[in-house]
Amino acid sequence: MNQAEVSKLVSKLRIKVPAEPRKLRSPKGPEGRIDKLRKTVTGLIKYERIELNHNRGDEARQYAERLISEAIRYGDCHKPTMDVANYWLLEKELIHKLFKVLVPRFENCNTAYTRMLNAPRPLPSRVDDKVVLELRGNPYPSLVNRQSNNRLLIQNVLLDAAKYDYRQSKYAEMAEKIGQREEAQALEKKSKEPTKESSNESKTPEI
Amino acid sequence: MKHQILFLSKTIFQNHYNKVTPLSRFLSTQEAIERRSHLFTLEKKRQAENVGRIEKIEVKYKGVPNDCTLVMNKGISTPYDCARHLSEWHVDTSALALLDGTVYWDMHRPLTENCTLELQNFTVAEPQQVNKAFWRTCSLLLGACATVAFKDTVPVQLHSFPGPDIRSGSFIYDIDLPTLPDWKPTNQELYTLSAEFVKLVRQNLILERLEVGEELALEMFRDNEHKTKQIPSIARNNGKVTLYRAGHHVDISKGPMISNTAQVGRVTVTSVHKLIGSQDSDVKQLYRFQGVALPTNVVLNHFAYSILTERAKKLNPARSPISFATDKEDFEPESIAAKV
Amino acid sequence: MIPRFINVIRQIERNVIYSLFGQPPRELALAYVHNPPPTPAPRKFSIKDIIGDGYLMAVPKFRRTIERRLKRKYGTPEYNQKILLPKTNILVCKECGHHYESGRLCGNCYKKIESETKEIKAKIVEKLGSSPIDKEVIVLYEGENVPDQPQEFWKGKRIIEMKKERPQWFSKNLLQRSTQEPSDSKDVKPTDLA
Repeated sequence: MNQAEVSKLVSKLRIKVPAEPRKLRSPKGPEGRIDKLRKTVTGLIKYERIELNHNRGDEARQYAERLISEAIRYGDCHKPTMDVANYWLLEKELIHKLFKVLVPRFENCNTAYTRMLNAPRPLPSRVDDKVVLELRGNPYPSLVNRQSNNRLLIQNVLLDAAKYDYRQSKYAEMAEKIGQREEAQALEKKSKEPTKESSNESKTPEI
Repeated sequence: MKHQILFLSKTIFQNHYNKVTPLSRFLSTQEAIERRSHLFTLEKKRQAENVGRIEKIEVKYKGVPNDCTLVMNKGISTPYDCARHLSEWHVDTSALALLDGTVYWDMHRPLTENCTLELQNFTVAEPQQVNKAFWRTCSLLLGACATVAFKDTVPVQLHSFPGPDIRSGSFIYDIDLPTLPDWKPTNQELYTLSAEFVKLVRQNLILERLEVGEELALEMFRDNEHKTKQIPSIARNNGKVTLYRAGHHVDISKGPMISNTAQVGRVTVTSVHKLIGSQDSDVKQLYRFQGVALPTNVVLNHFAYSILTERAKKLNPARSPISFATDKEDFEPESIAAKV
Repeated sequence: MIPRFINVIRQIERNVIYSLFGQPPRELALAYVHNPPPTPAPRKFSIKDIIGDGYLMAVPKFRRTIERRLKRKYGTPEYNQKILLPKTNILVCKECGHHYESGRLCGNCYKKIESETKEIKAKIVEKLGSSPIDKEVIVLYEGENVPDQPQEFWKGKRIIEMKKERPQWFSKNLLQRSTQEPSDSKDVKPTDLA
């Protein structure tokens, strides 16, 4: 049958969304799972950087991204979006924050709205994966050091010099070509002039 | 041969440089190398014994992981020893030491007074001097591999190498091959030279520094006429000549070198160009060996590296030591220039 | 009267007869004789003493397969690895010089940042409380002036002032969204007003 255009129903999230939802065991079952995730998403929106286990962090990230993308897509006045935000955000002032602070922040954003980084393990032998989940643009010190490469490193110096050299040789080539073309044009002009003179001479005897 | 060297060393210890009897037969390149290295070892041992009573100095280390003060031996401990107090990572990655924020010091050169020490690796914020040291080391090693690569029938006379210029794209060594007037290396020969270089580098050799008097330097480089001519002008400043040794190869150079050949990663000997001397100069022609290298920590894809090698194949525009009619004082090879 | 008389006669009879037939008087008879229990003749050792009828011992019922044997001996990487393998994913952090696992954050750097973050969080919660949040947060440290920015920049911003020095590693540039440099003006800070 005709597959609905999913991109017209829901904005595409810029994170990996697995096909099956994670189970996240809880005494109340699936309802408990959603409860727990609600608390996590509320915490993320409130504190903008939280540390938790990998499983729950990954699930909460998907829901948080979906929430923000819905808010951006439909805006303040759309009732279903407000209901969703009301359900997911347990502290009601965070709904204000979502629509008034986060939407303008992420409106023109090309990348995902959240960042999930692997936190250092508390004990090297234990396998529990701790993860730091944060909203982009938070006011805290950055965990990721994004510095551009030093121009003075030896490989950059060598490559810069090679690029400069190449450019210079190309300019020289182009200059040569232009020079040759001009010469050729000049020669053509010169060769045309004598023919004009001879044609003038030939004309006059007729008269 | 050994008997002669022992005799020689005895006379050196007695400071009778001028009375050394000349060796009766002409030394092959290999034997000359061994002899030079042996003399280097003896002189180093003598200088170490001359230190006498061990005094302590305070070295303030600044940097990662935390600033600390180390108490080291004067005239014996090197920045390498300070790094060993810190961690293996420091030992492996530091290429150069910075004393008091101003003087660049070799890792294996003994410290002489209280100072502030910073260990420099290739990813420091201002790596210009480290890069220069790296380029200089590569030139020295290029000379080393050239002496080893040729057969015994081809005598190799190393001339000199100019100061490091990284933007030129290649490091150079000017070598005189008297028995090869017209030599164009084939691709296979260039690969062999690169392989020799890589072999040398993978031996993880330490670059040892030694300051030596003029007479001993002349004695060591007796078989090399070019160096013999350069040594007097080098020693003009303070009567000392700085030598560097990597494995068995000894050479003259002024500047700091990196700590270990293991820090050289990818390396290629890219080309050999012939330099024709002017009519006046004694040396008629020199071969300019060129190569390009990157430190071990650098990761570069093969296409970018091929761009660098292609550029290094072109003749390096650094001034040739023989092709001008003016007197030699204008020419300043790496070994001569002022600072010690 | 009569039994007593009989007793006396018995006594006399005993004494006379005993002294006549060589038996010592009963009073001198032995009251108790210690007889050690008879030691049995030492028996010869035989296996039967140990085994007797036999006793039950646990015994493997089936042969352990090679897979199980190897599992016990060497473990599995996923569950319980018994062979010691060197960790090749340990790197050295360039900022602090401590070791960290590749793919994760540096432990030392993270601890620093985490403690700073906690302080800022506490401050934010304390200041903004539970009123509706409709402004972005900018964190200013001791001795920092409000950057000289156009009016629109300040419309949506709330300022949190921290009562301490800015840490060396928390760069101020992260806060600037425009290309304008921060001002060196000695203007009055917001808290000092009113």
